[in-house]
Amino acid sequence: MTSPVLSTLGEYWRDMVTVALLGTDRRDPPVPPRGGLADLAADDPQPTPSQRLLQQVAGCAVAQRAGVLPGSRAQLISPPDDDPRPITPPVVTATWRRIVADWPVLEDEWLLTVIHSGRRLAPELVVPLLARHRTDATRHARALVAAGPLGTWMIEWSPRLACTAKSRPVMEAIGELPELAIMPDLLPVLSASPKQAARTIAGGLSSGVFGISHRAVLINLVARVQPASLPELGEAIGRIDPSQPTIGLAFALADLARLRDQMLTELLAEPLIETEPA
Amino acid sequence: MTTGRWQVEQVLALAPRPSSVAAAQPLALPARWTSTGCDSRAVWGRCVGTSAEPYECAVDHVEVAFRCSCPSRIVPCKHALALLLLWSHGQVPEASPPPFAATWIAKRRAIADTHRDSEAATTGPNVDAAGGNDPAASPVVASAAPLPPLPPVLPFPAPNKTRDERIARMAAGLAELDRWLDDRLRTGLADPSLASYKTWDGLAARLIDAQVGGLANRVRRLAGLVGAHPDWHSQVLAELGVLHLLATSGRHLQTLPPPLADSVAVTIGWQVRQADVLAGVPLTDHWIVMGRSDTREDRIEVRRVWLRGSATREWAMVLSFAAYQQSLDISFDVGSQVHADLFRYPGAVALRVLVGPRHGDAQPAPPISGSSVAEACEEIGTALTSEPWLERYPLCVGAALTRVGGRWLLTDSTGSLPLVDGVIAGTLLACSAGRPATVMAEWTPAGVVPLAIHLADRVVDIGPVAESSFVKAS
Repeated sequence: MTSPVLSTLGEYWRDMVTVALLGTDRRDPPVPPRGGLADLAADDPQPTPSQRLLQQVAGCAVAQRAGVLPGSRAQLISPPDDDPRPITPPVVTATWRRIVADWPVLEDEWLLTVIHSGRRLAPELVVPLLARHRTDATRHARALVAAGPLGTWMIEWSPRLACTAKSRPVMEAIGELPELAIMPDLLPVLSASPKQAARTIAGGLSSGVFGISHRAVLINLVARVQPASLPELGEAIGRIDPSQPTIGLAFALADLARLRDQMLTELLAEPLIETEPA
Repeated sequence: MTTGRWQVEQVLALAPRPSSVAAAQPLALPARWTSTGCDSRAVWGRCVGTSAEPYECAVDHVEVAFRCSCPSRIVPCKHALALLLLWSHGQVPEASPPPFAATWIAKRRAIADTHRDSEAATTGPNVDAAGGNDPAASPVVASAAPLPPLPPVLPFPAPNKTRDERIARMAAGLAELDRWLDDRLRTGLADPSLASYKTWDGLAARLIDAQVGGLANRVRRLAGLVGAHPDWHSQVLAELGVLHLLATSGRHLQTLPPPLADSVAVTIGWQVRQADVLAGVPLTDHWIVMGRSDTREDRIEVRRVWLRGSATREWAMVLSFAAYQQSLDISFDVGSQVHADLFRYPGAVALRVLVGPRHGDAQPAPPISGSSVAEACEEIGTALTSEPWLERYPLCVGAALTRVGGRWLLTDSTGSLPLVDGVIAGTLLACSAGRPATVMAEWTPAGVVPLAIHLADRVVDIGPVAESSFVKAS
């Protein structure tokens, strides 16, 4: 059975796929269209139908791949509304990644500080933040405020980024830092002077007043002490005698204090850089 | 002394492996040599290499033997091949041999005379260290037969049993692969056995036994395509065609042009030693780290880092591998620029490189601009014409992300390129916001995979990332 000569490479390929699906035991390979593939078949004739097909498949696959052509020009999608706020600088993106990996307790404060600093989220952070908080209505709403029109636009194009929480966000909660559990006798540290706060926490770790069992509450305390206390706190904790049994906890708290200080410095002290995506 | 000058093909036939030719070709330039000369017995010269002193190289083109002061243990070394190439192109003048060549030739004559006198000629080639300063470092291969006239046919390299056995095993493996492909097309792709990984794994295991591991990897990847989407038959068929092409080319390596033969050999799984690659000519440039991509190949995580020369505009790819709980190379930050020497693996397109000395710390890369979609297609087509089995090729386009008929595309005024189905384009869309941006991507037969967006003030790495549970955190 001889197939008719096919006119185009595309038709020829489709016919070869059909024959390959059925097998050459059931159907003969198609005759190649005039041109290079027909010349190949004539120059190097193959003895069996399956070998003929294999040769032509190889030739056709190569021709199609090497002859890659651009598809037709497509219409651009309409961009999101303009957002006049400057975007967060690249260093802030790196800090956010560290916060998420090591100290997620700082993320709420980070996002609120972005909003209060008058900046909007760097575009590379919009998708991960919306995806990360899609089950939490308040945080998702906060991320949308920080992302601006780009966030809403992204949800239109990628509905998986929409909030899936059943409850509606409480408007007041969006702009407020959530409370963290702190022991009542440590609450004065939150409003103490930097020296006093550093002395209380570092001294407690050195003297054994604080142990591993206080880890969660101390993390909350460091995450909420006044920002002005952070440099001194980091230094004081860093000076703790390495032979102390709480040195591991002290090391972690010093890291948290330094990261929080860095985060706030980057967002509040850096000059606003007017940058737009290319 | 033009009579007896070899043809280029005769020189190439001496190369112990395809990479030797690739390494020799850049040295086969008169500018790389001093004190070259030839006579009716030998050809010699000094090659300016990486060492302080030039390498002294001499070739006995009558009895076919080599002497070189380089430390390579490959016989003939790339310097000897380069010298012969230069000679075969008529770029070596007739001259009297300098002392290093004259002494060596004299010793060879003396040995040949002794053999003739004692009529103790042997038939097989032996190792003659007469001319080398260090026999281990400068081995010389010679046949000890009486002086024959000019070589009537291609001179034969020294037999290498291990290599010959390996070539025979590879040829048998390739023949078996072709038979297997033939059977598949005879019985049809609808055969239910194709849906079983066992079928493909069995073939892959046999290909590994035949030491064509490169093809085994392709076969395993192919298994994942079966039934993956409605159009899988077309994609699998095209890949079977490419496998046939490689199986056929692999059995005719000696008839292919050297760069193409290198490409085929490397693709089917011929290992190239790092030392051979590092012996090549370095490409020095300020290399911009354009993008990164991690993919899992069987039980190995593979990281590709794409570099592009600031001056040369050439692409290069650095590969690193990590088994379970091993670390991938993290020395290249996307968006940085590294001043370094790179050494290319042999091949027609030759994207893969080894990184040599770095001349300073990484710096932030300057802003870059992409080509048009049409220019990128042209570049891809050119590369695929040279190596039709390429599975990916880098591109950098200035284009906007858009969506047509449920598929994401990169588009500009010259046309569009589709993204691979299933690629999550979220960050690319957020960064470009529907406007044109400079995007670095990998072309694959199924579409392009975006790896990085180069914005005015930052570069965003969006390439696929290895699972953190598999590779060790660095």
